[in-house]
Amino acid sequence: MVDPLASAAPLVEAREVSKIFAAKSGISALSGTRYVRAVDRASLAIGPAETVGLVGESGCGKSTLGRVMIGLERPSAGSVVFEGVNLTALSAHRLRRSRRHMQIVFQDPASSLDPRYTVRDTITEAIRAHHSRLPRRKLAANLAALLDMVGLPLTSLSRLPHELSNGERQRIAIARALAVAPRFIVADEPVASLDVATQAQIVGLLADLQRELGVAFLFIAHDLEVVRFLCHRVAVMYLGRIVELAPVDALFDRSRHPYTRALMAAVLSPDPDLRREPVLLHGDPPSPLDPPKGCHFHPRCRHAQVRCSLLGPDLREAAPGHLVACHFDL
Amino acid sequence: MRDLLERLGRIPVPRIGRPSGRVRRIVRRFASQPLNAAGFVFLALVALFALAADLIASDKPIACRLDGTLYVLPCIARPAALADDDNFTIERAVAARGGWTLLPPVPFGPTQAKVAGRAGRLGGPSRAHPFGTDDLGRDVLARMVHGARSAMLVGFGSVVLYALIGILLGALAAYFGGPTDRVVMRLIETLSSFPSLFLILAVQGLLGVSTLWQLVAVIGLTRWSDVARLTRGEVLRVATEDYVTAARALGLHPLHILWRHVLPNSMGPVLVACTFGVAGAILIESTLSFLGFGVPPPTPSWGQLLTEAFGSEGSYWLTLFPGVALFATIVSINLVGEGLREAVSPKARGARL
Repeated sequence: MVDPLASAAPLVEAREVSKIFAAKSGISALSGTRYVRAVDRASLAIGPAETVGLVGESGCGKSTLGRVMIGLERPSAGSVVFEGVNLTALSAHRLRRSRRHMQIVFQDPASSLDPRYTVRDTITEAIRAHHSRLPRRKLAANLAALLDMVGLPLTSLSRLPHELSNGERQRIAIARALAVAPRFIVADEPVASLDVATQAQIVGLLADLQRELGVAFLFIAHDLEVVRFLCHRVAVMYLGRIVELAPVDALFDRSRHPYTRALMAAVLSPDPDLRREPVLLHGDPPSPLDPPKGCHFHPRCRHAQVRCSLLGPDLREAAPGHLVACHFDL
Repeated sequence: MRDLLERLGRIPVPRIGRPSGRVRRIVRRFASQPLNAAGFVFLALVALFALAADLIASDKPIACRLDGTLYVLPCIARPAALADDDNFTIERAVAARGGWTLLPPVPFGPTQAKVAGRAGRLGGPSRAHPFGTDDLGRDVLARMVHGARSAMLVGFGSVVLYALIGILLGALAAYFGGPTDRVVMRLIETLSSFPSLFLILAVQGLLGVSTLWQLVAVIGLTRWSDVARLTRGEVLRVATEDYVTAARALGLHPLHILWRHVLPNSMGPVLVACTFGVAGAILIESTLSFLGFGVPPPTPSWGQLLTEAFGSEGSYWLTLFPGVALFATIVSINLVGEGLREAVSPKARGARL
């Protein structure tokens, strides 16, 4: 693997990004608007051809951060810089034009393809978004190349999404993302809804693409084993904040944040001898509508001290390239 | 080259083309249900009657040759020379002086009162008048054939008008949101707070003398709120689908996305509502005509015929035949609507509840 930290200039960088949503549903509509801070001052830089994993519980803001980083949503504060261009400052038109350098693959392949579009229509539209006047012959060659890249036969071109398996649909979604020759792809839990065998195939496909195309990935996932296999670095999110960011081996060998440790411990190993001591988290994840003061994790943390409930720790470099947001060296 | 590869059977060369076969697929799926086909055929028949009403039922021949002059389509052209003659006087003249004549299948005009020597008033079904005659001695079948024209024009015309308005406003409201949405929603609420039949009655009363086109305009402009609301909801639902986000990520223009992805996937329920709307509009036209606020009396319409039955108790043919025509048309429209909805839905597999 390339050492991603060696390259100084990141391809895409989120700088102190926050995203706040207004929650105006139900009773709360009567008591005035409440706000959800889905992403809270998150900074994350991804180098060219680097794959960064983003893990955390559901609702912790992973997907929102991903969408902000490809310019699908504008951050409420902070900025996203792609190849030196501040996306947040672009006009709607310019932003739309630069979006095609960044693509997204979704979790549920059943809803990520237009049910009325055949495979040919879906991919053709994506190719045309990039080269609007490509001659038909080249278009055909392009289509064939893309299908080949994701390992689907040309006969699937005339299929509609409902005629395909989930794995095939996910391959089409990946082919669509690749059609515009992007330099950065956000993969938003691309294997979470697939069965195990298909998962392995899609993970293998992503690993091949990573190697052959030199595309940078933000890989959002639940499954830590997949993250370990695919990613160079991993960011751990808890309630909108990045609590730990480290090269993959460092994170798996010596995680420094108590939340990361709990996540690691939750992974089942097939080998009973290798099973780690379970680190049980007590309590439910707090509501993002009303996050705890200080360190968001302190009500569930067994190392918590008084200061944790008063002061939220900033990310600090605990070891070279290993950032952690905790007051203590654990 | 292409042929060679295909014959070798190694790589099937991708055919690049329009999204072909989709229309054919929809038609095939639609026609596979006998009820759909029956509804469609009946509706097509009514539409044919509406289009060709003057050829099917008229007091003038389709063509005739009399005293050395050839008259083509006097039933439509209405030449001055034949102004005073009907099918039967022409037939008698032909028998006396030579020539020929081709009569329409129903040899009576819709407003032709008292057919000389043949019809009485309020005559029951007979060979000459299969559906009987009304209180002025007009042929009921002829009036029904011409009444189909009013029904189809008002039914389809007003729905096309209000579907266009409703889809446009609903889609814009949902897709652009914010102030646009608020303005459109207030409009919808204002309009739908009036009971639509009374609103139409009031407008018709204010405007006075009515034509069919005026009816189309009044129904079209007062009933778009349901379509707008439905479209808005569907567009809001579809706009959150991942494939719309994916299209945004491709950098496609918002209007392209709205037109190619969002609207086609929102149109299913709207389409069904619109076909049912055709039935509704035909019923409104009949109701208005029945109440005397629709087309003015000489113009035939099914609702008119039903009104005429008032005060002629015992003349069952005045209510039965127009009533059945109205009923069958509305059932057919509903069948076609349901069938279309199923055929257009890409996941439908021919199952019917």
